[in-house]
Amino acid sequence: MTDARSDEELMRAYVDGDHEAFRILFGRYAPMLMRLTVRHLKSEELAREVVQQTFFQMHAARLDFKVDRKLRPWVFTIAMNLVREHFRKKKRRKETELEDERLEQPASERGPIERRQRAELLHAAMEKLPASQREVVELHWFEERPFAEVAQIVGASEGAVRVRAHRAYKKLKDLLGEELG
Amino acid sequence: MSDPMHDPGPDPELEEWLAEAREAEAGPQPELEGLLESVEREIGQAEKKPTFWLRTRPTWVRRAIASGAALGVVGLTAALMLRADFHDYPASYMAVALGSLGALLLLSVHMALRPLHRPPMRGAARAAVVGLTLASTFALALFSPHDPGEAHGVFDHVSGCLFFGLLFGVPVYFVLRLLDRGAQATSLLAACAAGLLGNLVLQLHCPRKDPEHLMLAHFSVVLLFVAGLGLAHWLVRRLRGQR
Repeated sequence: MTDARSDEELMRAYVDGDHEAFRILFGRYAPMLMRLTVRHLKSEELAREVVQQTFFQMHAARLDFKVDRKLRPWVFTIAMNLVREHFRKKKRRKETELEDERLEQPASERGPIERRQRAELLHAAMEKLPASQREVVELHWFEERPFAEVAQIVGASEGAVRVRAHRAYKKLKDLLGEELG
Repeated sequence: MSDPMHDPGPDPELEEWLAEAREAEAGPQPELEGLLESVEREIGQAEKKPTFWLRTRPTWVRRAIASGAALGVVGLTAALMLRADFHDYPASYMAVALGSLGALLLLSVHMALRPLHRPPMRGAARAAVVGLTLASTFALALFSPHDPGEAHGVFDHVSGCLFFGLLFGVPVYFVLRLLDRGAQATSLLAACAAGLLGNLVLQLHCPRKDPEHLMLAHFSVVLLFVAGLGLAHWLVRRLRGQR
């Protein structure tokens, strides 16, 4: 039976000691956090570690959660910070050289491209974006978060986030220039 | 030209690519089996450690603990080990020294314990705190109100002050690491806090005013904490990277 309580009500219940509320929140958030982190880390194993750490940090920081705030940006910010920390420690921004090779397809390889290959090309192009722009595209487009919530998660104004999105889409179009025609 | 504020979205051709990519992701979900059990197991193990209880306190409580510990050390120094020339020392310079060092110490503590659910701190903000820490302690040593005619052995009591400053700075470093939940750059900011506390204690305790001694024995405390810990972390990262 699904729980009708809101995420914030569940978090409040968890802070008050209701462990079942934590499990329900896990069920709601784990799939979307896995999707988000797999997209960044390109590894399901690494994504599981980050998602596990996200829920661990949710528990550690539960007394910091303000009851009048939304839970989703709170959780997403923790997850994104852990992803950034992972890249900082690994000192890498791009996954492999293969993605750069895919991006630089010679002009002779034109013609119909499978949908999956186009998605891979797009992700390779997104790897070329500055982190601040890529985060905005991922949260706004792929996670379908409104700009106001994206601004909360990344710690910028809504105006700045909109400008980053605009620049990101422009740069993506430039990078995919040949394919887009 | 589209208006980024009102129309920051992709054009139709790019939108098609993005929609395809989003659709491609809507396939089978990544495997979550066992993940909840792993989370609960990790939480269970962590809760057996007494330090975990400290880390789960609200951020304002963690900051209060760290700030209180640092200011407690300063208070004890003032109460029990005050410099012999305190009443003759220029009051305005003492106020500037204590005020600037104290404010930077509290700022370092505040930033070191930034919670993970807040967006990341900008690199420029961290660099500013480190820069101000080094600059303020250097300036306080350089412009110390000394009597140029007064003779001192340059290396007299250097090791004593250095040891004293490092000793009294170390506890706040460890308190901050104890309270830290894994935020970015806590180690560097904790090193700044430790160096600043060491200088605060020395400012209250050491009667020397000559810039040479203050550079060698007081400013060096900050340098050793910040550069020394930075070097240690770099070496550890290199060694881990080579495995």
